[in-house]
Amino acid sequence: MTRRSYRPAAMAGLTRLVHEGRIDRRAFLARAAALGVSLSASDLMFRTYRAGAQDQSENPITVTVGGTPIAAMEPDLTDATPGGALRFGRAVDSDNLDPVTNDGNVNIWYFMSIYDQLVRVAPDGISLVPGLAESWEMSDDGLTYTFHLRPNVLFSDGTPMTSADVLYSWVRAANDPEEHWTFTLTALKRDADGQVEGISTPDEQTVVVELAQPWSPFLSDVAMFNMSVISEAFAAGNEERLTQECMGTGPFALGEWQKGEYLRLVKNANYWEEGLPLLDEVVVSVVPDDNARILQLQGGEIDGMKDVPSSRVPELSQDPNLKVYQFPSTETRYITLNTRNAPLDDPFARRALQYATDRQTLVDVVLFGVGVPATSFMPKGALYWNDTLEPYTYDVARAQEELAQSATPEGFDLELKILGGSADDETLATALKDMWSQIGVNVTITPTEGSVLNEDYNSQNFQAMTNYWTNDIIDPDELVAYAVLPDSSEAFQTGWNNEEAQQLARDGAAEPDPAKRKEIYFRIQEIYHEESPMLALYYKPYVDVTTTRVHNFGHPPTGQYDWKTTWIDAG
Amino acid sequence: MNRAQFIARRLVQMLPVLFGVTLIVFALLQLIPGDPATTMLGLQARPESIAALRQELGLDRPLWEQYLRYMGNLARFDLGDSLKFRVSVSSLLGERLAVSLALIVYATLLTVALALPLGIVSALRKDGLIDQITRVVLMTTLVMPAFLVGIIFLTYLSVRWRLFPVAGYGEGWREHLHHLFLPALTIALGIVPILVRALRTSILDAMASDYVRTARAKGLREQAVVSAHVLRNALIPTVTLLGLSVGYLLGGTVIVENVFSLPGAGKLLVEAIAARDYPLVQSTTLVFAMLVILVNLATDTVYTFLDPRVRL
Amino acid sequence: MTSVDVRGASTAAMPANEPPSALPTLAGASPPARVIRWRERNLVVGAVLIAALVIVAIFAPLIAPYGPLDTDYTARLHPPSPAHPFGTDNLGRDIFSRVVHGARIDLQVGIFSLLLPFFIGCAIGCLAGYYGGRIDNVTMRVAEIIQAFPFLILIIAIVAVLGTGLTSVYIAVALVAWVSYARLLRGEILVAKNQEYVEAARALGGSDGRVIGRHLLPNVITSALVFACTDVVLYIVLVTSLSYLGLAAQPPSPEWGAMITEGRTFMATAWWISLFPGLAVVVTGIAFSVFGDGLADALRVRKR
Repeated sequence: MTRRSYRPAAMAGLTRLVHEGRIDRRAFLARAAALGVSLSASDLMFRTYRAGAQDQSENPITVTVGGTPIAAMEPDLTDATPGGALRFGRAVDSDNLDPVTNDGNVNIWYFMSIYDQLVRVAPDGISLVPGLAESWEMSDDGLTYTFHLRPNVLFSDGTPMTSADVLYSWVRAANDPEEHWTFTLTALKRDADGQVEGISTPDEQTVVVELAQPWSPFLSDVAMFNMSVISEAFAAGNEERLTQECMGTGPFALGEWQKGEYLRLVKNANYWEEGLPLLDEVVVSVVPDDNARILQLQGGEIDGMKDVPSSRVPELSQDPNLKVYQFPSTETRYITLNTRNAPLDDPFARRALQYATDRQTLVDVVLFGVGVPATSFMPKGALYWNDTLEPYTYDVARAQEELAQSATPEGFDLELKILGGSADDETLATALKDMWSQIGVNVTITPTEGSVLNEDYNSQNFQAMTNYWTNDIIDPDELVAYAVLPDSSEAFQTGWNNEEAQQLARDGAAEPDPAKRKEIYFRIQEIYHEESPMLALYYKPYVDVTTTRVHNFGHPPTGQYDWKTTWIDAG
Repeated sequence: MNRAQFIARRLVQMLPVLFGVTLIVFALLQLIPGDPATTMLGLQARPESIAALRQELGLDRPLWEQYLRYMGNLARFDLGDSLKFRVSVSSLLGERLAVSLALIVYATLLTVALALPLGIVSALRKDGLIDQITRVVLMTTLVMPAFLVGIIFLTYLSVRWRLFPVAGYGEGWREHLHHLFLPALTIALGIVPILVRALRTSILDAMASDYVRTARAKGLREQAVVSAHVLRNALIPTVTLLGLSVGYLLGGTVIVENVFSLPGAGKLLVEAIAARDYPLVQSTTLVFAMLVILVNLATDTVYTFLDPRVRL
Repeated sequence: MTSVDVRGASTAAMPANEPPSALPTLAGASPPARVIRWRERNLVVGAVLIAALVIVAIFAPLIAPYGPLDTDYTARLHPPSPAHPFGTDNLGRDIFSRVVHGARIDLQVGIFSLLLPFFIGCAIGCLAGYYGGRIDNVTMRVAEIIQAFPFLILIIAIVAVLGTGLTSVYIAVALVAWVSYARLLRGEILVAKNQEYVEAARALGGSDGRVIGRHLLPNVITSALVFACTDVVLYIVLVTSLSYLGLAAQPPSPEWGAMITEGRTFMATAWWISLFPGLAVVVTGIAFSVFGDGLADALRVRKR
């Protein structure tokens, strides 16, 4: 392994060419070598992410103002006016800003503006680019990774970031078996007690990681939020404070968090990318009611919002003062079923629900056409997404056949928990109640406040609930491990326990050959499809709305907001 | 008995009520079907966390001890911690209570500003056009749910015609007045009809009374009669009704703060309920009851100034 | 001096401890004889409106062209038309049918909520007023404490701990609202029990139960009935408000408050979803208010 200088932007461009299918393996390797990436590392990147390219060109970002599509991004920042605050509204408050212990997008999508990782996902969502690491190498056996840190990076409090902070953050992320996300780090070398022992720091700028087994998704995992670099001086010995406070190297720092009201992100004056971020601050306020949030946007009280009820998209798209964005996403919407108890412990009952669900109607009625019916629990077009599954078509007769073979042939009562205040969830639940009543399934809808719903989910206190997923990394391992393995998430909290799928999930992460991995992940999706511990309903783009004052609003497919280059017209 | 003694006696009379109020608020937690800690954390929560919460809330102690502890904390003005927000309830309530109080005062002023002229005109021009229109319109607003009125105001006055802001309460008193106008009006519309009716009756009665007749007979001009005697008589039912309405006004803030997204105590109550944060529900309810008791005391005091006939 | 509050979600009821005869009414004060006809008209108009509402509620399945939950995904968000007189919502449900079926829920809530507090309150009020002494002292103290809470807030708090749903609403109202009837009847009984005919009945050896049941109650119960009319309105508005806060009826129930709440997202574009259930609340409220006023006036005229 030799160390050479590495040009991140060029590498990002190169990986994009791969994803767009415009460059073959040999050309890629040659060019990567010219850029200073070791052969094995670039080969791995190529092999791992080549297949992720499919379909992305079909899902461009669309932005509409007053009914007219406009260009999504303004890559040229010469017109940008730095300064000012972006006021952004959302339905549910964050509850824990600790990258390691938090458990959802209400946190991740925001603290990712505060923390950096060594490697990060490019804005296109399908390639990896250097973050706090300028370059890295992988040993030929695939068991040792060496990362070279970017020099002169400061935390937002002005203290320097060194390899010690990386060591501290990574060991913490990997060691606590109680936490939700350690499953992505199972390949790290560990001692007899399960404690991580393979991470070392030869000098202030270098981090070396030893794995216990080859692990294809490793670089992807390094880019994941739980591997965020946290200031050791700030947190060590007082980790509890990380749920409420942050100290990272990202473009923004945590200003103030008024629970239930707003989260204020302020510009990190020490940020390492020259001239960024453009905004002075981002104020993320909590407005649970969809309608009130839209009213605030239309009334100019906020500049942008997420959680846009689909029913309002057509109307908002016609408003000349608003930009309506549809970002390609990895968002998949589900009904999560608790398979521990009757009647949903019976796959026949679960398949009956599959056939009794008219997905196209749901897309029309709930999403107002903004989305497509789901065929797999994995996001459409993602790496190793199985496009050969036969979709569950709406078929009441077949649903009744399945139900007849279940333990509850006459139907059953079902409590469906939904997010209180969400118009989309209300409509979805009402439509499902109507559809499922055809086969004698009597649904009771229980709207539940966001944080309680989250608690109910984590304590498996539900029979069925609305749910969704977005990929945080490019590799399918994150979702597959989360949805299949019993270890930390109990298979998406469904309690589903399928040994074949579990073995395949473990094999898939260890398998270096992309063709074999594809086979493995296709098979997992088949089993999942057949067993149906969750009902995958539809794939949905991220819909955000801002006023026309806002420019370069960023929402990559992995979900976390990218407000680094966002700016807002003065006045 | 002088005024100070009167107030002192009222204060003493309040003590058993205050005691009873704390008892009811304390009992709220006992009303939860099943184990409160389990309800708060969910059925399948880890037994350790449930045990920890039971201990934190003191649920593992005998009832009388729980109550004594609760009273002890109250005596030190300690309302406990919120489970959801993980901070002390008093720190949560402080600023939010100010918003609710501002809203209530504003609503009261609007009520008077609307009801006084309407009530007087309705009485003086009894069965005239204004009286008839007022009667029909107020009957409608009386039975309209406040949240519907609020939603209509928001949709048309704020969004469609952009006359008012849609949320928040602004900075500085000018903005406060502007931001809180629609919410205050929404609350006011619930009591204006009652006050107008009361005023109208009371003025009609006063005009029919002996001393107005005497005044007229003495040759005083109609206007002088109205302003001197009738208005004075009209003020008494106004103060009474407003005093009586404080419970209604506080209830109104719960609805209106949610419709207009105002960060007040009423919105906090609903958030606490949604988050199953029962200690916060208890404390908010207690504070609301305390406010009612205080306002009643204040009304009684004002009354002694307004009407010398009030028996002290 | 009084410490009663004017209760209520939006419609405030009459102050509880005053007999209705002292209350302002729609028609104004001290009527000359010729206005009496207008008063009876109040009573008749109210009664007819209420009867019509009750008929609609009873025969809802016959009147409504569709079921309250029937969806038609091909007819979504249609404005009012001959096929759908009140239009359709985002799931293609017929608003007219939902409003008609909603009458069953809301009238039931209005009337059922009333029953428990009415009977409990009247019973306690009679006993307190008739026997006085310790019973009177204790009940009036309890009443004072309960009325120290804002009505809506105490109801919300009780529903919150009992759990969402209409049953919780009934229980909460029963726990809180009996107070008004108890105070009202107590006051009336205190006045009535010293009147000659009651003293006479007692002198003739009538038992307490007989005196209360035969002689006192018929004379004082009418004022409680008048008060009950306003209370029905109060409870209907209360349940719509609780549904708005997510504490009473849940979607897809055609409860009027839940319907208004579901439709609020479409207020700017499909106003009919919220407006018609809103009108239903207003019409029902006016029906009971007018009837209550008529009853109060009839009662006052009779007493005179």
